[in-house]
Amino acid sequence: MTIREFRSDIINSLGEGIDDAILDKNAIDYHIGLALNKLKKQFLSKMTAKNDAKGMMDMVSTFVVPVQYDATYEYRYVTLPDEVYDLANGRGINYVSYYRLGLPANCPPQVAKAQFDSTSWRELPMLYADPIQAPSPQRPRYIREPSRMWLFGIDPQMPTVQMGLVLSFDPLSEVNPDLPIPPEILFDLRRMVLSAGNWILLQPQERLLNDGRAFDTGTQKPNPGPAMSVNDPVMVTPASD
Amino acid sequence: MAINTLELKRAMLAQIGAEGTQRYTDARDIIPAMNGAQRRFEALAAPLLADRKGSEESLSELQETRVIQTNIQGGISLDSLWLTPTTTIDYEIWTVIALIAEPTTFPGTYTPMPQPAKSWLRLDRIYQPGGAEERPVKRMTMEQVAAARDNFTQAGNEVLAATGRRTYGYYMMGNRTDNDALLNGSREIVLTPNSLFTTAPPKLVVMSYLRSAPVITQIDANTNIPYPVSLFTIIRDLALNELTPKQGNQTTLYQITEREIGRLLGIQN
Repeated sequence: MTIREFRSDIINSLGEGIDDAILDKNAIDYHIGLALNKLKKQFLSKMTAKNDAKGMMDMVSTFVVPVQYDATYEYRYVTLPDEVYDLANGRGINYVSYYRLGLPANCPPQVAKAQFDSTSWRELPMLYADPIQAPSPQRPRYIREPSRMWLFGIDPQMPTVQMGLVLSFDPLSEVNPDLPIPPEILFDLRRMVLSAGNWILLQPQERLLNDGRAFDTGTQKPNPGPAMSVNDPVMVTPASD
Repeated sequence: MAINTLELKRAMLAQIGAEGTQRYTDARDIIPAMNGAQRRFEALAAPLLADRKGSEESLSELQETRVIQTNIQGGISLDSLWLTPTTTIDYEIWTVIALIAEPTTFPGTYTPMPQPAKSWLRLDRIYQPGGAEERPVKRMTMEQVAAARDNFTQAGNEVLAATGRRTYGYYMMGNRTDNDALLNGSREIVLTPNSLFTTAPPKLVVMSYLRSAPVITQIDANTNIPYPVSLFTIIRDLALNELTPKQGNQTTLYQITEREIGRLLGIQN
């Protein structure tokens, strides 16, 4: 299902189909993105909690990214191509390996050889202290930051790496992207978006009068209540996240 | 079907028992009363139409949908739409019903008219509804323009203007210059996002609007007031309201209210 198809149902349900509607289509898509990312995170957390790596394979995107050199820190790094989910044990980054083409036909693919393991700044000194665990071209390591990964032990002759990432959904990046969630979650997604839209429509809207006011004199902003109860099952995150 | 002026005159005179008399003449009394009724009706209906959408059949005789070439500043002068380099339209635009951006028009090729300071009514093109790229243009106020510019959820914002998610808005600018070399005409509506409309070539939009009824100059079987027949009684009573002070009648006898206009036009409160 594409976002336009999903949005069309939301627009019809909320009665916001005319061109002067309160809810702009981009605003609705933004709310779809917010709700979708929350539900997707719940789904992925269940997969990681059960150690079900195969169950999330349909949400992994593969990228080939060039390795860069930071002259300030004198470390190698790659820039993450998009926003990656923050899952337990760093599983938003599904794998990282060298990227190399032109291997002979009977050789295993490069991705089946050395893969990067994650580590942290605190663990790095301990790793380098052990000659067996120290980062090397055969045992490279990465440390993740919000928008980049620092690479240690990487073979300096490898200009690119291949990585599988579990990305968050940016609803505004394309005009009509597919919704990247399993179909069985669409009902919960619809309920969350309709609740958010309903809450917006309960707010008094700005008046289209050129008098510099949003509300009539003397009126108070009402309190319509929460958009969705915190105890609603769709809001509950797994305890084993 | 429009209101015939001869029939209207007969209905007016019958109401006040002046049929067959010389008390009221066409040139001195009836025609000015009818023109006054039109003005009064437009004055009553205008605020209703400005705020709400009315029934589309009610004023279909007055509705026109035309392809407009905006001026180079992204505006349309409602009182100065040019047909040729030397002639403008010969009627006034009463109210704008809708604007459509990026329309599909026929024929397909588009050559801009010269003099980009002017707004042009392109009679050489017609609007083909349902085009793949057409987008609605949302009405906004002058106050909203600056706030909407950086807000991706508001129509006509600049944040998404260069993407496939662009949206359009329009607002009433009024008169922003008396220098015809910069911009021709006044009573201008301006479309947003500004970045899409201030780059050459001038853009085409479709504007659906109600034209003001023409001034009545004679009463005969061929002269009509372009209002639907359902408004006949209201127009008659508005005209009588203009006429009957001469008889000494209390003018409240033929008062027409905004509510009655709204009800007949199908405008919901």
